[in-house]
Amino acid sequence: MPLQFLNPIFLWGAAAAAVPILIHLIRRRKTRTIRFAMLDFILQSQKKMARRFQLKEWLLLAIRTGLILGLVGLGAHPVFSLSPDPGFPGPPGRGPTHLVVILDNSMSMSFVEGEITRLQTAREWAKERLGSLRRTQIAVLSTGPSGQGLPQFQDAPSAIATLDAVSPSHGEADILGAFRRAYGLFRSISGADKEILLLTDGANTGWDTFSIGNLKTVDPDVKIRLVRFGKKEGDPNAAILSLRLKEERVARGVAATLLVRVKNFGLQALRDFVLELHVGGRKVDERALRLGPGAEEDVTFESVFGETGEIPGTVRLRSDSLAEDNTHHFALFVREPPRVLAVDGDPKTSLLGSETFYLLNALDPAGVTEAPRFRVRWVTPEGLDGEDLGDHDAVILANVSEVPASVRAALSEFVWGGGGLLFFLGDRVSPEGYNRDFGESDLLPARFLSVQTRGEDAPESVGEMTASHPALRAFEDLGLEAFSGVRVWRYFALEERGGARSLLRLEGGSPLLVERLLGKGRVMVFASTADRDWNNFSIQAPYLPFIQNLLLYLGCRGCPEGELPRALAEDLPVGEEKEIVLAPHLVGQEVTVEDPEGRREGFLASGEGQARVVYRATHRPGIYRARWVGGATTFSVHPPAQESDLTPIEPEELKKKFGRLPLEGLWRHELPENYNPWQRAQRDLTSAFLWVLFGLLAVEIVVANRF
Amino acid sequence: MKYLDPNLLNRVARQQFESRFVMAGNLSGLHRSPYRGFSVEFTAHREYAPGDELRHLDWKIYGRSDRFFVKEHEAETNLKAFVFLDVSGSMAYGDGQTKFDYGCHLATALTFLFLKQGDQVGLVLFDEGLRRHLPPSGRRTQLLSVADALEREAPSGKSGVVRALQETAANVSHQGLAVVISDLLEEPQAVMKALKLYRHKRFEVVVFHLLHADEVDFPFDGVIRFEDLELPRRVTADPKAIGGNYRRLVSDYVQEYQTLCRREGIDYQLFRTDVPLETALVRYLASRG
Repeated sequence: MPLQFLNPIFLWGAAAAAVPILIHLIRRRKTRTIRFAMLDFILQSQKKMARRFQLKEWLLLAIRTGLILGLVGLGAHPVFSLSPDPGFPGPPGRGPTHLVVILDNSMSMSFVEGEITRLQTAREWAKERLGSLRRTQIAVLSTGPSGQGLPQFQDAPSAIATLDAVSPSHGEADILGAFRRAYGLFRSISGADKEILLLTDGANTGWDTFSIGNLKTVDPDVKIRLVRFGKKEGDPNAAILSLRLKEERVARGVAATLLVRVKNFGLQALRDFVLELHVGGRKVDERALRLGPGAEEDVTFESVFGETGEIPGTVRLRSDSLAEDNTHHFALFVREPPRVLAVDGDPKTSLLGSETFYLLNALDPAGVTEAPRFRVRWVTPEGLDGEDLGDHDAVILANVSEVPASVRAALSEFVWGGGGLLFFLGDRVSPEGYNRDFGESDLLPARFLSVQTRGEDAPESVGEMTASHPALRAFEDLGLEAFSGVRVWRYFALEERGGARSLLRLEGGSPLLVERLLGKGRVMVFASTADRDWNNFSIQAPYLPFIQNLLLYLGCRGCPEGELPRALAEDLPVGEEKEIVLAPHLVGQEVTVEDPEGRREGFLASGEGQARVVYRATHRPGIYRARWVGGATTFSVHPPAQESDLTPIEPEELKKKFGRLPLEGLWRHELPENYNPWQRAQRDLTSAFLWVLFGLLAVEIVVANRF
Repeated sequence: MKYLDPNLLNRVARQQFESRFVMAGNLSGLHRSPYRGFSVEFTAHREYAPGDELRHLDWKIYGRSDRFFVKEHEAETNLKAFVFLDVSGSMAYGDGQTKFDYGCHLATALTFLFLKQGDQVGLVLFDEGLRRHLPPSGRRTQLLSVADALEREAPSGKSGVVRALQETAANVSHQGLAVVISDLLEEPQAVMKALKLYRHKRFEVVVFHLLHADEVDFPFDGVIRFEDLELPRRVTADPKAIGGNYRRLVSDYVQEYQTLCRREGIDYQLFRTDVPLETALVRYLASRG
């Protein structure tokens, strides 16, 4: 029925329409009777007037009945449906018996249109329409992690309150999960008129992984109504995709290079938009950018940090309607350059001939970097006795023949206290002496056997590498290929000691690099020389990163066991879980994680052979800090780059994703302002009724008195 | 007596009802009738009128009152007046004073007037047939007889003026005066045909058409069920709606009677019952003079 009444209870008043009819009948019954003589004249007059009289009578009756009906209708607040329901066929004016509203609260829904976000627009749109459902049980879900709770069917006012509580998720839309939960809710309801209303911007993200076929349970009777709040042609948006550090380590006073990946997801070129670098809450640099449609670019910021420790910062894009992806948080760890004591066991008057020539050049490649990344002190074995090891983070003993007992004791204390010790061997090293002297202090990771000599025409290559080790992670991608040019023709056969492990092995299986953790420190032994005497490693390309990573690793006091110090905190997308790994003995220890808003949550480390905590509440972009007894770690969370792509999914593609399910896809901007899926678009007829009533009244007066 | 109203009779007593025709060539007397005023039986005195024989003057009265009166004797009266009064049901209309009452008063007044003039007067009461007939008489007691007869009657039955005139016309032998008092709710042409019977017998015919004011003005309000006073029929009507038409029809109907009567030399008078009878009658009699 196109005509509807908002206060239908008033329609009971329509019974009053019988009043004129009753009056008419009563009046007829109570007609005055007059005995009259000239009835023939009346009859003749009546004959002429009969039709007109009857017409008047009926007309008056109809008008008066109409007046009463009009008054009743006026009280009942008449409205008129202007357009047919473009939705599913069915009786209008009432909704389904059970409705699940899925509100897409993913990051892309934070796009600001006008002055409010699409999420707010969608929410208000839904609230206005849900209010008309008086008999429908409604459950509200969201596509984000904030909607993971168990929803319940409730009446419209409660559902509206639930809808109000849905906040932006900052992450991706889990549409599949939302549908899974929706169908789960419907599972217990049989034989009812069920419907799912999905309010989304229809951005590609989330839909790319969605297919109704991926759901185990699908109810084909459930109608799916999808209202999209984005634009068909998509929206302009630029986003920061990622942030990385060029250097492995950021040292105080040494320039660090941040590479920020920016992309224009829109179809129009972006000109003169600004990318800012904020460090410690202060803007330190900015870049003006131009990006063509779909283009992405690395923007470089160079910065020198005068403080050590954890430095939080952000890079920000200005002038964008989707603010969520305009900020990228990061945390830098600025350290002092590792202090390395290089002990040359075979010094020569010519530097080139010295045992540590290549080592020193690898640690401080003149002309390559502006500032030294290591502070290296070079001494001969004789000078070692006078050194205060507490001033150093790592010590290299290169082909040192003999170390006094006092120095060995100091070295042992140095390593147990967190220092790093690296042995390079050579012709001055006596296996028996080392095994005896350093064996006593338990500093050697391996027992030295005999010197193995291969002819220069039949050297050995590196045959095995533990690429997962922090010191060798730089070669993870290339693998052994990185060491393909390395030839070793003389080396010490080593026998690993308990707790030690070989990180590099020669083709013949003999260990080339062995590590052993000792106390808070680490000890490594390289089975050959640091110079070109027994191998050609020192003149091969991987030598420099190999040496630097080895010393970064060994020289990292206070770093997690077996870890290379991070220069940039780990960066995760919103919603991805963070695994925090602790030393095995920390099982049962409490780990407290503080989110960007300062909320703290405690977890107990668990696991076998490894203590770990899995933190899943990475719902907001920003810096998260985890602390436990004797350790801490920081990680940052950034918006998912996929959500920055506001290109809408094509309707045809969308239809395919739902297979044969009854789907109705609507664009909100194509719908009338007063469109209601469960109620026809209405026009208030109160004034029209009023005019009709006035008209009827006027006609009644004329007919009753003049006609 | 109900219909003997002294006030009315007093007003009428000073009037005369003169015949407009020559009665049997006798020019003496009030009616210029050759058959009038020679009876031995004295019936009444009347004032002298030019044409009266001087021998009929009552000198004794003249001696007493210095006025001329002539003695009238029944045998000497040469006018026979017939008063036809409609007593059908339709005459019963009216609150308080009905058309019938009005007609009765008119009949007694005329009887009184005729008798006073020395004429014989008879009364015919009719509805759809002749209900009562008082033969013409010039005796004084005739007035009482007429009044008594009227008092005993009540209006009922259908109108039958045509039939009454037809039935009585056969029994009248010489000229006279026929006074018809009725609401004439019959076909005018038929009524005129019946009246013409009297005209053919050289009767002067006077028609008093009685209508109640309601019947002329139709002043009713609201929807009314009208029931016929004579026939078992009824009709519901809105007077406001049909009033115009009704009045036009009544006017046409009166007009038709007037025209037809004029054409046939019949004196037609419409008497509305809301006009006092003495006023209406005096005015009429004056108009005849």
